[in-house]
Amino acid sequence: MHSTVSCPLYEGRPIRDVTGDAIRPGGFIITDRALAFCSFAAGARVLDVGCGVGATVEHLICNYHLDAVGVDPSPVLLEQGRRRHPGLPLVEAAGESLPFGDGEMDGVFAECTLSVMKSPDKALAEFYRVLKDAGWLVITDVYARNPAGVDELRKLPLTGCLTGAMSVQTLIQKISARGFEVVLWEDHSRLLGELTARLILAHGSMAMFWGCVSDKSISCEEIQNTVQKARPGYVLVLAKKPGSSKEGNCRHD
Amino acid sequence: MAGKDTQAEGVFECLKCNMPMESGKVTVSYMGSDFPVELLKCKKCGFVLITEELALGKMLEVEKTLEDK
Repeated sequence: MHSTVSCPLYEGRPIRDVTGDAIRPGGFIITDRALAFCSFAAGARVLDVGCGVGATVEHLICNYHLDAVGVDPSPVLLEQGRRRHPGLPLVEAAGESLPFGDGEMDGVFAECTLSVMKSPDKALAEFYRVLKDAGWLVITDVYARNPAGVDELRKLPLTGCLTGAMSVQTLIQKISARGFEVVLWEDHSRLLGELTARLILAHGSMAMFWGCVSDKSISCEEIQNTVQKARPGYVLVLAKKPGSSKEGNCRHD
Repeated sequence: MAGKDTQAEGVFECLKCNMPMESGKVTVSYMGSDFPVELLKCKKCGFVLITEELALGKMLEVEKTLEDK
């Protein structure tokens, strides 16, 4: 995570009052889309990296009968998750250092979390390590539809997915460079637009929302202009660890 | 706009029913998406008041966002 502000965006009420416990665009919509594609058998071992309060872990266990576990580096969110649902398997750990053995997982989910990790490359290497051969990697994340705006995003005094957004080409290159076969990527920017609309209605404007979550070192309008320049979108990437018969790559917009 | 300003500033009544408008949950639909918002509405006929400030403020920003402008 970045260290510019004390409270990460995803821990605060200004966003969680709008997103609910899933804390990402679309809630479980893209999760369900990915699960339909991956077709995990009941009882499959899956890991949710950046699980927050465990909403997705609960969804995977209760609605898909998967053997799911979640990790998150935030003690604040994990404690809220344990209070919300005692007994949910939630572990304090960062995506770059997973407390699981090699080849233990049938699937790894990182939904709107790779972009908040200190080292996405290290995290992807860990995802690869803990996955079984032919295991699925499910990534959903904010991305910059205008890559020219990425450098300015990095400098924003915010702690959250926006400041770690990259272009979709860079994201796919990083995933492929770790040895994964990217099977599909889909644009779901519409869901980010809907979340943005909800934030505007709840806070009055996006500038006012930034005022609630920034450290005030730059103006809310400057944050909004920088974000708009990068044209944030939202993407689903499905990738597979090699080890099964090859499937054709495809892209859906 | 379905209301008229009466009495104190910010108090509106429905032009059709002459009933005071009250704040309540309304679902606004735009480009296939539904958004629950708190707006003034007539308890009798259900007409909703969208003030100029609201229309040209956050609702315009929402429209631009959903139209990806």
